[in-house]
Amino acid sequence: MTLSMTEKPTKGSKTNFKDILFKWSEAQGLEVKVKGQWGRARVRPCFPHLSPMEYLSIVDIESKELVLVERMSDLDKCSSEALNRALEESKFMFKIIEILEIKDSFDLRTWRVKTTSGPRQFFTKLSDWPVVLSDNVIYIRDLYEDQYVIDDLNKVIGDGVKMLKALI
Amino acid sequence: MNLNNESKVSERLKQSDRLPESLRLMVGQGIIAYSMVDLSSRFNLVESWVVLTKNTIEYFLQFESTWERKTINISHVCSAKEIENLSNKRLEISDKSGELLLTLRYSLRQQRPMSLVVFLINEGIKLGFIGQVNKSPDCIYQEELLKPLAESAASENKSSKDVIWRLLTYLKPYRGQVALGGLGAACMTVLSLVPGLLTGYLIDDVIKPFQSGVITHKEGLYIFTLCIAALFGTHILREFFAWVRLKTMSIMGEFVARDLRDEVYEHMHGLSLSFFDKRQTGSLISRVSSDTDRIWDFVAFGIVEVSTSILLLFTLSGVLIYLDAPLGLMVSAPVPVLLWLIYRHGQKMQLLFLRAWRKWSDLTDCLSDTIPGIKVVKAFNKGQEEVSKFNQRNAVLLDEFNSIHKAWTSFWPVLMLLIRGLVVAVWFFGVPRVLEHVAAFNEGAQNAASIGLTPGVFISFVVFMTMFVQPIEVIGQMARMINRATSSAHRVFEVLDRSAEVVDTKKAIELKTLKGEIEFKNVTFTYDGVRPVLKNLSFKINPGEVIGLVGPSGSGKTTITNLISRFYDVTSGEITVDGYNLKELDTASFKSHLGVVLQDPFLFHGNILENIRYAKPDADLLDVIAAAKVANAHEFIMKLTNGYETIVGERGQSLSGGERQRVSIARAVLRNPKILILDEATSSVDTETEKKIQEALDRLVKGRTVFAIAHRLSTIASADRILVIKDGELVESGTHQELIDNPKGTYTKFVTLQTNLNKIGG
Repeated sequence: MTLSMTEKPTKGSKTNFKDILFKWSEAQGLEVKVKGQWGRARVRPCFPHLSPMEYLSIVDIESKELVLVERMSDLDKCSSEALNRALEESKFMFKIIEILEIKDSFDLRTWRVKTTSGPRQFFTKLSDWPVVLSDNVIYIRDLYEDQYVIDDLNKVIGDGVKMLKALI
Repeated sequence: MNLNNESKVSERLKQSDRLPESLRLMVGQGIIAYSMVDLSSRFNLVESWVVLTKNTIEYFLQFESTWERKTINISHVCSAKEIENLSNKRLEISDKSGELLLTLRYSLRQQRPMSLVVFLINEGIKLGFIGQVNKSPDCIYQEELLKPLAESAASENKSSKDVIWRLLTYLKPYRGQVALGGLGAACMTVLSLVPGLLTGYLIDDVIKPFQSGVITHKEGLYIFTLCIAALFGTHILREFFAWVRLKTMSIMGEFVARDLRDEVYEHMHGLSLSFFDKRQTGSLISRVSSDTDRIWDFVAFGIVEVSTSILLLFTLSGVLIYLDAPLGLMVSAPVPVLLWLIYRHGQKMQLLFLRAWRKWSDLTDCLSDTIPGIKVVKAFNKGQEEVSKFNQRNAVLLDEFNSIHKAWTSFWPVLMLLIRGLVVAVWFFGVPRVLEHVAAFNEGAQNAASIGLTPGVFISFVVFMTMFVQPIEVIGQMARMINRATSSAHRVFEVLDRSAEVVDTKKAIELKTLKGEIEFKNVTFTYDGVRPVLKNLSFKINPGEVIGLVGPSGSGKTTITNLISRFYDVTSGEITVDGYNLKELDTASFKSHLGVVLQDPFLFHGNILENIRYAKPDADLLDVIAAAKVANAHEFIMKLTNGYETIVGERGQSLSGGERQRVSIARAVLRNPKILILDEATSSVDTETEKKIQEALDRLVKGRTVFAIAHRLSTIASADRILVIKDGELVESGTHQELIDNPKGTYTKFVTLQTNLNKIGG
């Protein structure tokens, strides 16, 4: 099924979300109903770090944009829940809760951490620095492009925190 | 089986290095490829596996101590699609009705082995079965998983000790110099103790006996003169040995650095293009330049400094304990504590330096962004904002540097105070004993010599104490020095440890003459061992034939010319040149018959003459002019003040693109190759220049076998034959006319598209 884009995302023009519905299932993932037709879809935040819950681009399986959701609150409860579930996957990053060790070797920095997904050891280049966004939120991208987030620097624990503070 | 890779996967990435044995037993024979899938549907890290056999996709999910298995027949699969997310991917395998048969989630760490699995599934959908690959599944999995790590790190997980040992093997050819330098250092160290001992001797055996009238003034003066001579002689000898050590080691260090530079540079030239593609030029240059320089520093001074400091420290302690055991022990015992304090301080400084480096990087980012983009900054009138941003970062950097200075300026005086404290302790415990000795001596006690401490020994102690500081300082900095040297050595060894992918056989055939007949026989080529870029390609080119290679980007045109140039060897099939397998030919003799004109011609720093002569350094000046005339370059060269001796600047930047191209054509003309490769030679120039270059090329191609890649079809319309390449396969072949006679042909579509574009472009 091919869905077409319903609204152009222009500033000030309010998208009508009455006819746009979302549902989510383990078997099919995210589905969207546009112009009365259901089809599989994916969600991509326009600003995954800055504002991951706003400005969500909904695309079909061919990556063609169907609609731009500016705010979750524009959607009904069911749709909002479905989109939230889909976003979990889309904006998933390893959330670091403990830094066991950060060690510099010849070319690489080795991080031994505990994440909400489980323990992980990853690598960054010595010249790649963690990015501090705001309110002590820190992002780290490893050699494989996997991304890690520390929600609050003050809350993260472990022997490696001292070293992390030197890196930011 | 690659044991090394296995251990790297398990030790470094902390994940299974291969498919578990229990799963192999469940699947049985015929595993083609597999990958680990490391995320659950709730994004927890798990161990599950996807395994491909000829007819099935097997998925295993660990459930407590057992494996849940799901088998999908490849004939039921209609699509396998990877969906990219921020930090994970999802693989959706669907059937013909679009229903999802399997959804897998994995972190980006697994994406390389997984994308090969996806590629094989999609190929399998077309064929009806999953085809075999040339490599073992274990090898594919481990290599793909480790590739980003291997490309980013020189480190092969060797210890610093291994690296230092390997570095020391470079001293082998200079054993004599090492021995001489070592001897010089040892003698220098021992001799540096003599002044202290002489001072003690002078007091105890000259001044004191003279005071008590044991020796006469004349005898005293005589011994004193001998002592002065010995002291002077010691200093001369010490400086002589210092000179021997410094000269021998610094010169030998230069030899070692030269050997390394020669070896690295020569080795680099033997490496395949892929090695250079994956590395930044600056990083490679630094391995030959600054890294070898650091190694020189370590070899010339580091090794000796550290060993002499250790030797001096031990000798000093030994001498002090020998002179007076209680005082000697009192002074020597705190030395390990002092070293530990220096080590701790070093660690603290490392963190502070890291912080400063981080802030320094912020500041240089600011410069590297704004200076090249100064036009944009000015156009948007953002100068003041950029200045404030810079000032802000500069202020933060200043704070960091000040922290560093605060740390070291407070540490060293405290350390010195501790050492001076030891001196005071020597005074505190030593002086009463000296007085005790003097009293016993004055009273004329028989055993006065063994009572208390003689003034001479005491003074020697005080002199030796001042010598403690320097070796402690050097040993304290040893870790940093070794780290710097081992990281540099590591980067150098990384290049040396790479083996060339294209190697001549022992009995390689030298081709004196070449006709230029080339044949591709069922050639398949893959860069990663799985995804073929060229698929079973076969064609034959006659000597002197001009071949146009046409096809969309990524179709495999440049790969064909790369294989002819023998930058890589074919994965299967063979390429023959005049009937000889290209792999059996001597690469150097074959390449002497090969000429290349690239889209972005590269000129070396130097003048035009040197650049044209690069192809044939002994070419006659008249031949150079003739080549330039053939290349339509003579006219513009003669307009330059210095004619052929005009310096072209780095990469030929003082010339225009078209001029550089014509110089590069002249270079090819001078080489007079039998096989000529023209890779988009006219694509980046204006119409007028293109005309001139085309005229030059028309003259150049005569009598040679030519492969011309061009996006502008007009430039190859006159080719004897055009090969249309699509997805690594030869889809059409013929003359321009023959090909456009087929209205549904790929070539005709290209021609139509380009004609329309030209119309739009006016």
